[in-house]
Amino acid sequence: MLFDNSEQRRLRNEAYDKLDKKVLDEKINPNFPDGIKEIAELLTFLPEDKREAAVIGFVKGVILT
Amino acid sequence: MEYSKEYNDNLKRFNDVINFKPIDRTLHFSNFYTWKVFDCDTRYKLSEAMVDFDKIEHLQCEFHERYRFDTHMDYGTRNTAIGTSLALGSSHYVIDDNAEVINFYDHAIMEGDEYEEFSKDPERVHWRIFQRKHPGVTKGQVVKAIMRNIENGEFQNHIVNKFVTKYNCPGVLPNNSSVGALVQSPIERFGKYYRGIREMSMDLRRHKKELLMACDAIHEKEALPTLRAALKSGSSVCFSDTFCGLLVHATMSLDQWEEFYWPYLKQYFDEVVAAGKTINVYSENSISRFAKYFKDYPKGHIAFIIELDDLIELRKELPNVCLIGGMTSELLGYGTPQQCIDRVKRLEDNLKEGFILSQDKMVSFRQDCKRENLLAISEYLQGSRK
Repeated sequence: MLFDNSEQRRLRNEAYDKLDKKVLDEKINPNFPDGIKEIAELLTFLPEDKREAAVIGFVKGVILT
Repeated sequence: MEYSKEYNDNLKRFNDVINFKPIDRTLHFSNFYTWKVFDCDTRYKLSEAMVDFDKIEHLQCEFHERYRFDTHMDYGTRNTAIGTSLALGSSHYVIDDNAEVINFYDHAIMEGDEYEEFSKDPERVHWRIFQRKHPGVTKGQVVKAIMRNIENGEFQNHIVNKFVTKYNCPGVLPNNSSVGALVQSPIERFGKYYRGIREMSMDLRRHKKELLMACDAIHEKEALPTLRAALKSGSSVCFSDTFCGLLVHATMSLDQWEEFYWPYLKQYFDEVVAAGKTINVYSENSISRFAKYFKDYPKGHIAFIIELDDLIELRKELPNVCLIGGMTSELLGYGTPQQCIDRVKRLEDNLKEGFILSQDKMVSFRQDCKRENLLAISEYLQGSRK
């Protein structure tokens, strides 16, 4: 069976497409934790209580790559 | 999850080898990375074989079906995180499709005077240095990169499960806390990711106290809790309960190792052994200078993936540790099939139990290996399968 995440991808893309394009084009807020919170608010494809942890984990993961 | 009898038999073989029990054949551990892209019958560019999941899956499965390794260090996913970095518009990786190489620049994104702050509030420092690594990034780019990162995880879970269920291959590297723990001495992070090898080497002298404070913070807040959670849950899709990577040790003197590296690592090893679990250690470069620190652990808990050291010599110093390695890329790339088989036989004769055949480096470049040599080894090992 080949990898197929098309349904999850579609749901995430739909959520992304509903976001305000002007906000998406803004530079990230350099201040902590406001910058984290502002990104978390945009992760509407994730449960609300998991968004901030997702950003924090992502930031760390990208640095450790 | 229910596993097949063949999978459970393979898992038992690994457990038996780590416990120095005789098994019916020599296990073959793949330390192959981007060489798989060049060996694939379908021509892929290096850059696309890192980010296109269909291509990664195709070349990884083709590789496995051709050579039938017992386990794989890499499922073609080692470099998928580069896709995430590229989504952020910049990376410390440079992929050269013409030269068929990936380069990674030694870099310092954390300042030497930020250690103390890191030890108190690492997330604040992470947010700051994230912006140094990816300057000028937009909110949309970050959201897209997070979406890409989630996809990487979905693919990783898929390919791990496929290798367990279709090919009956236990994995090597725990990818998240649900399947085991990846632990390493905290200073590894500073050398590899935050400060770079050059700056960290100088920090051992000029920021010694602050560096140790930061290592303590990672140890207490992250490494130990992660390890302890994994030791309680265990792993059934990897052949060891925990995994550890050693790289920065190669840049240290023994005195530095004793002060900055070993105190943390010792605690991880002690806890693994006390819990009756296993740890698989990828030792980049050489470990022989440090062998004495591991020689008193009982058999049955530790496996070392060896790069530069001679396994037969190392066995004399570490009779208690399962050794994984032994096949040189020099032979794989420039030797003959018979020379490769002769080396396997020599390793089998000298090492006997507690030995898994693997390669002495992450096999990455086209000239690191010839297909005919790897096929000859594979056929020789298959011949001993029941």
